[in-house]
Amino acid sequence: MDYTFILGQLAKGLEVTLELTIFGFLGGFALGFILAIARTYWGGLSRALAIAYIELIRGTPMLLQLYIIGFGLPLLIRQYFPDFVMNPTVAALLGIMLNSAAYQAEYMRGAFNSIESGQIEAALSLGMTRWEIIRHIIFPQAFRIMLPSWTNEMVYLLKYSSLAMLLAVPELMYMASVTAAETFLYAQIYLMVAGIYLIFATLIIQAMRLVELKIHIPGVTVIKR
Amino acid sequence: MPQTSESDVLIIKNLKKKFEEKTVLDEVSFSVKRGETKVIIGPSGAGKSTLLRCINRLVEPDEGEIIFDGLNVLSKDVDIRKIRARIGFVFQHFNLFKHLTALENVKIGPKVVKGLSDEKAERIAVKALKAVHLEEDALEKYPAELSGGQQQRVAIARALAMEPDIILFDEPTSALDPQLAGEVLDVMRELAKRKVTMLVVTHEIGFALNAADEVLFFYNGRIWERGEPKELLYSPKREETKAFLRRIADLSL
Repeated sequence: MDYTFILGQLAKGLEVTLELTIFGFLGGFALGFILAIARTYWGGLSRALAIAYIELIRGTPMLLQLYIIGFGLPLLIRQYFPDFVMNPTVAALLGIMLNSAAYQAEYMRGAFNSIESGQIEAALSLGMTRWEIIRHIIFPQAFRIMLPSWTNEMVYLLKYSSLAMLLAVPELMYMASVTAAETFLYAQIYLMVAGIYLIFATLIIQAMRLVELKIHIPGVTVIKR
Repeated sequence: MPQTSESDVLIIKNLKKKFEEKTVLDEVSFSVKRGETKVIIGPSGAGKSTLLRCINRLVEPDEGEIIFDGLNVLSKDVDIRKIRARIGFVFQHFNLFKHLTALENVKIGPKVVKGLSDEKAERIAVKALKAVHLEEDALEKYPAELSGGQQQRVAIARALAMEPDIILFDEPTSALDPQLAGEVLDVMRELAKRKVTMLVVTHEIGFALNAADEVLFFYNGRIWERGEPKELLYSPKREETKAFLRRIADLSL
């Protein structure tokens, strides 16, 4: 039994898992913000497109989305660029971002809508533009209100990035399966992996709790000690 | 018809507004002169709040004219935000920005809308908060940590800091108990004395009596009766005005 070898393999996997989680979350935030603004404040076509996108993503399994991006999309692209090769990690990251964006957009929409119209009217009455109101009035409050939902989303991404193993992305679950098959230490390795997920999920939850406390404003968010 | 003169800050002509089938404003015409305090009273549902909201176009009226400092507010060519920046608005429920301290609430207008430096905006904000007698230790507090009276005074300071040509008050003391309403009314009386132009929707007859230059009684979306405060409040001519004032008097006894 070579535990240094096993731990080394799992560490490599963990690194990819954390990359998928962090960049998937950030990319999902950027796109989700645009979707939420489009759905809440823009009219017409952009609103309709945002709704269609969000419902498409929420209404289909993430695994299917990963398969389409990882296996389907490269075939399509190859019809025009025969030399195209899709890096599976890039495909998984793209899939996770696109998926998370839909959920984050809905969290943000909920938070935007929870700011009472009275504050918006006050901001309008001062002569603020729509964008100034979003930036200075709505977003700072919505950001605080949606922190618990974000914690959820990060923990969710940490665990469900494991679906990327089915695209052969060398993340934690993939590395664990490969290493277990090599060493036959299935029970030990999977228990270690469970421990690793649990530790990092707990770290995220505790770190986010600190952030919530740090930026808490009475009247905007509620903190129960 | 309202007489128009050079000193009119606000002229309203034949304003009409319907919500679905219900007429809330019907041929409303009046004007407010610079330095004047005009008070609007009347039963709820008479269209008073809607009138104020039409003036800065939070609500779009159906017909009529609103002239603010010579500018046609309802024209498509005006930048309504520039006009709003010059019209203060004080709401019944204060509507302070919850994530900003008292000082920041007052600063944000000059800073974001007028583009003043942080330093200048702060100086203006501190001055405005002094004018409403906000306690020193309340400057850095958030709205949720302030009393209702303090919140409304901060809201008045937020309007003052924009150095507006007129301030519209929409039942500013209706959400406050009498003692806290008193602090707010004191501030408003001082503003009236300083000749800040104000259009005030209120049920505070005392304020109307000693601060208003003219009182308008609204009924069914119309100016039902208008006149000097003492004349209108002590010897109203129309039945509806009498009935309304009797009810208000009963409530305050």
